[in-house]
Amino acid sequence: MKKILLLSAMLLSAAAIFATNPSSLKVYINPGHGGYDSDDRVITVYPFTSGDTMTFAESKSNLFKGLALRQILWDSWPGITVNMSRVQNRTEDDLPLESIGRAATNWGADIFFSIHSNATGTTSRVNFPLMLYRGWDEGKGAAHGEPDEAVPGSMQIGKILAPILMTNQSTVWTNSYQVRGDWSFYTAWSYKSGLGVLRRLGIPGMLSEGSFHDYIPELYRLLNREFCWQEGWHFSKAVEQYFEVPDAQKPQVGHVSGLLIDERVPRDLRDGFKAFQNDLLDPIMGCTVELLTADKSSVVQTYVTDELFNGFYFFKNVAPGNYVVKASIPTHFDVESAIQVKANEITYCTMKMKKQRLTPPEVVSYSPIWKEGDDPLLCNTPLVFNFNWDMDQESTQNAFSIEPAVEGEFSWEDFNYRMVFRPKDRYDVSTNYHVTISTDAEHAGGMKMTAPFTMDFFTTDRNFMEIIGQSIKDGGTIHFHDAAIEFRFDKLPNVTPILKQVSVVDSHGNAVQLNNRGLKYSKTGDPYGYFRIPFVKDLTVGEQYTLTLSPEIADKDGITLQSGLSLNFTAVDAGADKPESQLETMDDPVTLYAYDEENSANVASNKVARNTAKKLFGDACGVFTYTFTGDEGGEILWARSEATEKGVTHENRLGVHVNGDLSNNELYIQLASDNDTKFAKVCDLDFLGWKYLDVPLTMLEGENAYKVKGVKVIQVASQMGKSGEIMLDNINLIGEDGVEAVAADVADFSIYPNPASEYLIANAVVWVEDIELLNMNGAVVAKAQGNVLNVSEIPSGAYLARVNVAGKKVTQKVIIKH
Amino acid sequence: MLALASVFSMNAQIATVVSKTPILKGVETDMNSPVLSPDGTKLLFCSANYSNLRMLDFATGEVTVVAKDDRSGFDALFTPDSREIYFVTERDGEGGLKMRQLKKYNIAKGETKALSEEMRLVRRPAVSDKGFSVNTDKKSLKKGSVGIAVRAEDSRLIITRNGVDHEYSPVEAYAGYLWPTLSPDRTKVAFVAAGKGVYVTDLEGNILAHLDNRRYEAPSWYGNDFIITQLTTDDGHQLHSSQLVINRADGSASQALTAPESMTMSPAADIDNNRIIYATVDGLLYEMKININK
Repeated sequence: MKKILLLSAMLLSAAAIFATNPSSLKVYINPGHGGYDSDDRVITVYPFTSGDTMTFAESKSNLFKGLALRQILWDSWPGITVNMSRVQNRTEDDLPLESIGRAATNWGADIFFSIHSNATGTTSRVNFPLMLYRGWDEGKGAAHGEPDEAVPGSMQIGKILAPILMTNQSTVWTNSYQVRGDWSFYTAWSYKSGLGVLRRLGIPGMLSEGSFHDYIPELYRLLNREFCWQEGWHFSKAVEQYFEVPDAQKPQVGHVSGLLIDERVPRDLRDGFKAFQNDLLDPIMGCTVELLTADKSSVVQTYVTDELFNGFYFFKNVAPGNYVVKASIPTHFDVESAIQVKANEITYCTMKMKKQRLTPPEVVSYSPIWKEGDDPLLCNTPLVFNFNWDMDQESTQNAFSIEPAVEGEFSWEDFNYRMVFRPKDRYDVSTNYHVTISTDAEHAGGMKMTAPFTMDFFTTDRNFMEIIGQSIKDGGTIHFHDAAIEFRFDKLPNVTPILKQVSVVDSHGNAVQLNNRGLKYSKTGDPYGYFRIPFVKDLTVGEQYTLTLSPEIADKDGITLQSGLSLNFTAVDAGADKPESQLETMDDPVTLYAYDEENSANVASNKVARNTAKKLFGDACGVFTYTFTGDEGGEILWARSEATEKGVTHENRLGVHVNGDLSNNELYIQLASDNDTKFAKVCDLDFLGWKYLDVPLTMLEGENAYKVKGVKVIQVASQMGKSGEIMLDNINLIGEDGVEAVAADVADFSIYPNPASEYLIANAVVWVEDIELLNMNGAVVAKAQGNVLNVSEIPSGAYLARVNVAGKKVTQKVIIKH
Repeated sequence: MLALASVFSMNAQIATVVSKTPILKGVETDMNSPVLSPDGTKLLFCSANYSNLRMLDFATGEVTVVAKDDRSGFDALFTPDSREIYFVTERDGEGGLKMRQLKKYNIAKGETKALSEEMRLVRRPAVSDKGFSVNTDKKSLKKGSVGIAVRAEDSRLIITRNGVDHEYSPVEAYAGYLWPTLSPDRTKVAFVAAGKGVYVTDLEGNILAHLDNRRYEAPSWYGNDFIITQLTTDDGHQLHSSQLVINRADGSASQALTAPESMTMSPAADIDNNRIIYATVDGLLYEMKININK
């Protein structure tokens, strides 16, 4: 019995020694990529330039990690056998992937590591370890009738290594680690292609994407060889765990690792790279870090942080015990931290350093600089203060005051060396402002200003951009064809964003397409600012639209509108057939109309032309172009060579088709009898596009017959009135009621009820095709197929119902009454 | 890829591809690393992880499992008379340490025999019809006589002549020599110097030719004057392409036999039957018939 026990004990002992003797291990290391070739992953970061091999190349940091791991294994367990796929970084070291797996298998390795770092391949930035073994994700192999891992043990290595890598506190992790099967992770080249280096590997192994090198703060750390050494050390810990190395055979030294960062100065995120947590603070470069004995009597090791924007330091192979880490650099106050180093562990000690700010803060420059007699400032002028130190935001903002009080927002630039105040809306007009930054303002070191800072400024008399003209008015109409949106302003608008600041929808909420390429706008030197955007297609007659104008529309100084606009308007056909007789067709305006200098004033130039493209009726319309010499007092008469045939009296009205010029000037028709001349005002020219205008003639005297004798424009003082171009087409004669009815010539024709409030119905013994409702200006305001028209939304008033029946058009006056 | 294409196009056509036919389609899966017997009647293949060594008898179409062990398909080789198969198996020993053993399979009898004890390292053997020799971590094992054979161990090319091993290192290659192979007339050796391409030497280790594409792998003699190679590209992670290339053994010319995107690899060539057996990335085997152009 005693013999048996002794034998058992010997066997157990032998097994334990054999199983855990790391010196008998064979470890194969593949530093991924190689040779700065096309399959390397190179990222050029400041201060390096393209082509500089000193910048980040994954092949290089992978090699640093691999060489470190080999040395650590050699140092830890003399006799251990370590082989590497490469120890240099030349093109010929970038081996075909199957060769690597084959070399490791042929060599008889017990374990295989392919060492890499990761990149997202996207714009998102993360940092975590990703372990890839050959096979399916854990638990997914069963669905394929296969084990999860192609070579047993490979998944286990990843599961051991990943959490060890995550113990690194001298980095910033954004997510937890992942351990994945490469057949699940990669799907290229169909079924079970996976990672090339693992494809023909006959031993337990995996590929480690230890961290993400496109997370730029991590990239800067990977440029530090000691940081790579640290990752190599983590691999050696995984070897220990995987092969169950007993404590007695584990290394008896520890290591110290950490980051040195400014306590509050933000990191310079060049080109806007992303950073998280401690990586948002400025890494301290060129800092001397000393590992001191616990009583600080002697320096054990010294490390100087590199100039590569990582603030990383590392002390290798430190005997277990208590120490003090001390960091010193002239720009910052020294920091110290007591630590305990344990055998075979890394002690992490990241320290934040306070910048030395030894003089009080002050405003060294500011803007705007204004003094009495200077031009007033725009009402949106930001106030900019540059300090000699990076400032404490909270105390500085609290120390700021402005009288009269203005609500505003602060922003900070240049790492808190610059504070900017912007009024939320704008300053008041023509107002003196007094600004103070009191001595309560502190720099980041906690020292206050020794004297308050003050400044004054005076604002202009304008703090909103003003709309001085618009082609579309709320509740108005617009001719459906060749329609455009035009707004005019007191200053030139900033048209860069204008296409995103104007929108139109129909009554169903559908966006109406604007012809962006047709955008026209004012130029420097124009008397007023404007933009004009045509519609892509003709509008639908009778349809109601809503135009929205953003309140962010601004002039070139950033002065915005006081508020946005939302305007409802209806498309009409100003050129619809009218029942009235025609006094003037404007088919031959050049012959009939001529500039009447004697009855004009302050005219610089003028022209009468014939236009066949934009006419509403007949062969052409008349185009009357004018420029006055000044901003006011101008008037121009184009006289007709002979009076029109038909005459009108005070009982009649004129129906005039006008294409306006948005000049705000006034348009008149000259009417002359045998012994009298009158001017009937047609409209204020405050619109663009065609309109049909109903002009009363009550100014005419007695029963005299007046005939059309001329066209006149009188200048109204405004920014827009100096020049313009109007068009005129048919001028009609309207009876005393404004629109004359056309008698029905259809059997049993009737329109009822009259007055109507809900529906208007047309009946006849023959088919009624459609029914239209015209206002007294002749514009179609509603239309329906068939014989029933809904008039419930039509405003009360007198209208003309035009019914298309049996190929004839029958027109009848109706009353809508609600 | 464009550069490769231009290299090939500069050469006159060496061979014409006559046909490509799948082997054991729908019968077997995960077929890799094909090895033809010297007499051309048998074909070895294995799983991608080198386990599950199987043998196809072309005459009967029958597939025999030679060994299921780990590594059994890594560099398995026939004896010159095509009667026996040598291979090394592997298993996890205590504490995860690998233990390996040399074995021999008698095809006629269907019997497997262990030729060594389990050891930490057993190299690829040199074999003949009458014996073998193999290096291990403990000692060299020899039985019978080995005439001419070739092996590669790390950066050493071991050429056995008249039963005597001669070591050569004809070219510097840190990651070692791979895929050593003897020409059918047993006068030349081709091998991969990792990262440098395929070299051809005589039996005294003198370099005769360099197939100068550093990404060439897995050379296989097609007669004594041609070598079929595998040419892959990758991004450091995954294979991007893999194709087969026929090269004149003196390095004077080469020609692609398959397209880069075909993902073809691991050629086993047999000029007596005008064929090349090869695998694809998804574990299928094909037989390509070719004619050498006059």
